[in-house]
Amino acid sequence: MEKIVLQQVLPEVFAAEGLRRSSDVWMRELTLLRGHSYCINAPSGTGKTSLCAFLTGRRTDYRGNILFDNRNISTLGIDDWCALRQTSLAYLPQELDLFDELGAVDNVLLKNRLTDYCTEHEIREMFQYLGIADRADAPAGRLSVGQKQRVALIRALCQPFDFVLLDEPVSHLDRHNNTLCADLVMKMAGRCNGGIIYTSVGNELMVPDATVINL
Amino acid sequence: MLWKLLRRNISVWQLAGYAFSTFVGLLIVLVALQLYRDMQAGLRGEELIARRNIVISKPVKLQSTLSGAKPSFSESEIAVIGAQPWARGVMPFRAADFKVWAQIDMGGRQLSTALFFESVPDSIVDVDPARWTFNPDSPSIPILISKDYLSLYNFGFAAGSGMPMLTEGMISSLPLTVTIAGQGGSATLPARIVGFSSWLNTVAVPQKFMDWAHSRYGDNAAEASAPTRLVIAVDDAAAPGVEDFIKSHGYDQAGNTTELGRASFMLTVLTAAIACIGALITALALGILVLSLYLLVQKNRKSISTLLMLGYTPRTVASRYFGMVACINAGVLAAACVALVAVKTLWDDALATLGFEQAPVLATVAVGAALMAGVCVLNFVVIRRLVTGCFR
Repeated sequence: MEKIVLQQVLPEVFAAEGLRRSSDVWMRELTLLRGHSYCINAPSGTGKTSLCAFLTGRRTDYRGNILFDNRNISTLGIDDWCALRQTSLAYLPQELDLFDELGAVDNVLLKNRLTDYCTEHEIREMFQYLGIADRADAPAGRLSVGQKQRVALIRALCQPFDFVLLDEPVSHLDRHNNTLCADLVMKMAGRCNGGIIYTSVGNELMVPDATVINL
Repeated sequence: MLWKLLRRNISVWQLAGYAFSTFVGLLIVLVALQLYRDMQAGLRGEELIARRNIVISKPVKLQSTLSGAKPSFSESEIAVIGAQPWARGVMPFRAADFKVWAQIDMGGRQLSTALFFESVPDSIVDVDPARWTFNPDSPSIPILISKDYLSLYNFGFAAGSGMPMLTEGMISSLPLTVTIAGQGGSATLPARIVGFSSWLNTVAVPQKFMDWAHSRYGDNAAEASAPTRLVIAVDDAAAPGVEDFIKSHGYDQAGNTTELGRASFMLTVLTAAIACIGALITALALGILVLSLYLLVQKNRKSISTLLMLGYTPRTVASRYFGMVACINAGVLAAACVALVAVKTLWDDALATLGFEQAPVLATVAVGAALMAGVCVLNFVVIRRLVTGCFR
């Protein structure tokens, strides 16, 4: 997948109320290209979570068209989405969605198993890099939110992707850890020439040269 | 790891309930089917031949007893019967015109009895033709006896006199010696019982043996040839006109083909009803499983949804649950088959004593397997739909 195009997209909920402010995304034509970085600046209530849900196929309650390359995603079936999620579209949800009963590293291995993209050694190196190596084997439910955020980030990056979509990836991290996460994201995106799309409500991922888009 | 997530919230009791109910339902279906097949195997062969052949005789009257005349059929009477539209042929019973004794060796005890022989055309005898023959060079007499005689022995004589009950198989393997005498000569020949009939109410031997024995020991060939009993070959004994004809001419009809048919029909209805109850229980059990699976998937909805978000396909997730259900189904099938074999022993002996052949259990097991395969397909569809429902 080389590009994501949004054409006059508007969540149904906004369509009912009417869009009362200007946006770079809603009701516009917007093209996101592979290999580029985008920061979606999204104050609360502007539809950030909705946008992520539309792009990952979780929700379809919008007007307008979203195209992956030239294919309208409303035509994608469940198997198409599963294939995309395995090899084209990496996603870090804001809720993290870790399995609390599994170990931190097992959460990542569960994802990695689908494509065998990384070795367990590489995964543990990422834990080391983000400073959570000592928590790698602890149940995810016992981790702090900041630690969980980093585990979920590693899990999202453990696959080949054309785009990685990160919903508030560093909202619970300090500046130092933010930098480490940004480095890791850029490194993994560089490995597959993937595009980076991340959202922010203020504490944004420190990826240089990202195009800022106001939602 | 995946199973560790998915097995959460599995209710062992609900699954055990499903397994038990399915086991009971399936067992009832299989037992009904096996019983039906066992009985049918015994009845069908008899019924088919009995429906195509009627044995008639004239009633024995006091005056014929006193005069010594046999109530035999004249040639003109035979011709009238043969001219009926439903009659395909008339064949006489041929009585032996010589003396017959039989000796049987039962575990050292010698039993001896005077006996009689009759012969009927070979074509209506339901015995393997290779065994229903006679060779004067190495004489051995194949004998077909009425099942009634065996029943009389088993339930009348043996039960009252402390003798062992015998099955058809046992009787057939007992060494038997037959002595025939007449015209000043006699011969002692080995014999074996090769079959049992429920509609030929006689002790029958092959036509060929009868001809051979008559030529040597028969003393009144003319008398012997006037038959006292006839076999009428028909398309269907229940055809209209048959019963009226026999009644209006005052003949007695041997065997009870209509009762046999009625018994067969009742058996079909009864076993079908039992099988339906079993199928109903299985269906209800399936309902329990569907509800249980629905609850399970609902409780694990978040996990399943996250797995699908990670890229796991509904097929992969569903296959884990299906694997579990398939294992239960396989276990239920195996248990039901073992139980079937165990339950079958309850009626095996009774049927063997009645002289019924038994249907192989494998076909019933195959039906059970097919049934459970159907249940599995249904399970698979339900699980797949439930899991796919977690996608959005």
